[in-house]
Amino acid sequence: MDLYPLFNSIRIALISTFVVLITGVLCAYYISKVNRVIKGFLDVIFTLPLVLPPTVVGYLILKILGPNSFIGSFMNEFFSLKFTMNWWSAVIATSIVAFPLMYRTARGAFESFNNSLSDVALTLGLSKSYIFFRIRLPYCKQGIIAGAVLSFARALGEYGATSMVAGYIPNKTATISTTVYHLWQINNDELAFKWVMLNIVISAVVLLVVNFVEDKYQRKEVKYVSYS
Amino acid sequence: MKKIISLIIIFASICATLCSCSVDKEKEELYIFAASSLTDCLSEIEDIYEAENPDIDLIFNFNSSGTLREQIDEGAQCDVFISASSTPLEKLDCASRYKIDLLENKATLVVSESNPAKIQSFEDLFNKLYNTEILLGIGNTDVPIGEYTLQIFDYYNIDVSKLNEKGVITYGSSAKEITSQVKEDLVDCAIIYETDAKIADLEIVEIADKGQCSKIIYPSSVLDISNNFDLSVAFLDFLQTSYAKMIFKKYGFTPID
Repeated sequence: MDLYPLFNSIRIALISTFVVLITGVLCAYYISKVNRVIKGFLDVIFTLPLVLPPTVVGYLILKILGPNSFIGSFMNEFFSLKFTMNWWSAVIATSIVAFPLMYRTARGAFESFNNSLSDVALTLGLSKSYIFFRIRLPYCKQGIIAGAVLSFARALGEYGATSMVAGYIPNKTATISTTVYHLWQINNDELAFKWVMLNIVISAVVLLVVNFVEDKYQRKEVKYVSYS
Repeated sequence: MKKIISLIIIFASICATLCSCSVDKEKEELYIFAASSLTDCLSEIEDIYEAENPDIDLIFNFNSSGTLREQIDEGAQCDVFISASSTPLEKLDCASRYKIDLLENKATLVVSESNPAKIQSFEDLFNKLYNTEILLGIGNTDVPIGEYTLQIFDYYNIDVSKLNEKGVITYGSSAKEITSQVKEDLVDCAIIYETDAKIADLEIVEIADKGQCSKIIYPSSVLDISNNFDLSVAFLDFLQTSYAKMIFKKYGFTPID
């Protein structure tokens, strides 16, 4: 069994989780600062990939970044860079699909943040970046971690947009999900079953780790409360 | 509580109306499962046939022949199956009583619009696959065009697993998917049907008609599970009239007599 799809899937999922972790948290933070009309408009755009079928996302990526598009042909001509049919094309696709999960959960966490805490910090003369990184983020840690885990799981399982943008190239763009589909198509049930089991194990382990971390986090809080 | 109940009733009645809308009891429905390469010409034939037989509703399912066979095996309702190779039909459990070889097609090597790799022929393609950074789109082994492609590989003594290690081949799940990939310049070249290449207006570099692969014959058959055997036979007979043959020819197929 060639393990390239496993390596590739995890690589793609980790990088896109990192990408949406940063962009999602920043977008969630800054959207509370813009005026209401723009806020409503941006919120729809940021959440749209969650409800769109992945094939629609894949189609749009191909039309915007594909070799025949304006941006794609320009990059290809001047930097001989193609956005499609590479392993990192899948990162673009999975990041877009997973982004709303991170953005939504982070926004929820920020909205439940008690703003008087940051006001108090301001009166104590702390800088805005200090407040953001040392007060707001730690306070909202749990929501952000949950969002990141959801994004990782979503990125690991993405099929539709990935297969349109990156195809199925063995040893280059093959991921677990596209490999399972390919094996099912060519009637290689035995190998397909192995990949399915492996995928279930990975996803279960991810969820177990999350529960474990959450549990530990909560116990720590209880301990802290009992001491005080 | 009253509000919730009335909401549920409203929702259910909307669902019921929507369901009943789609049922048209006047017409006899014929389910035609056809290879994706037949999408364009059968859609044209559908309009003509339904105009001539107003009491018949043709329902098409276009996909790769291998996928269609799996769907039939798993219990999909199907009256007529037109495959792009004899293998899916032979593998089918509900063996057919009424079988006709309908059409002939050819495998071709096509290139994307600009042909940046300057591919000249099959031999040239295989040299370049080993040496340079190009990407070839082919069908997987369950898709008939993939089956024919592997025969072409064998003819030129090409080891597919070596090319897979280099990561220069992408596998599509139907002939139409591979055609779209060339059309969108996602791949540099692809091995697809001559008809698909003509419909998509792609540049054909070489036609595999020198014995590189076996003859590409489209067999058609009325299935045992058909609910409308006579109507299905009548439809297959229509596909062999000179009128239907004219349409097939227009799309680049060679009708078989």
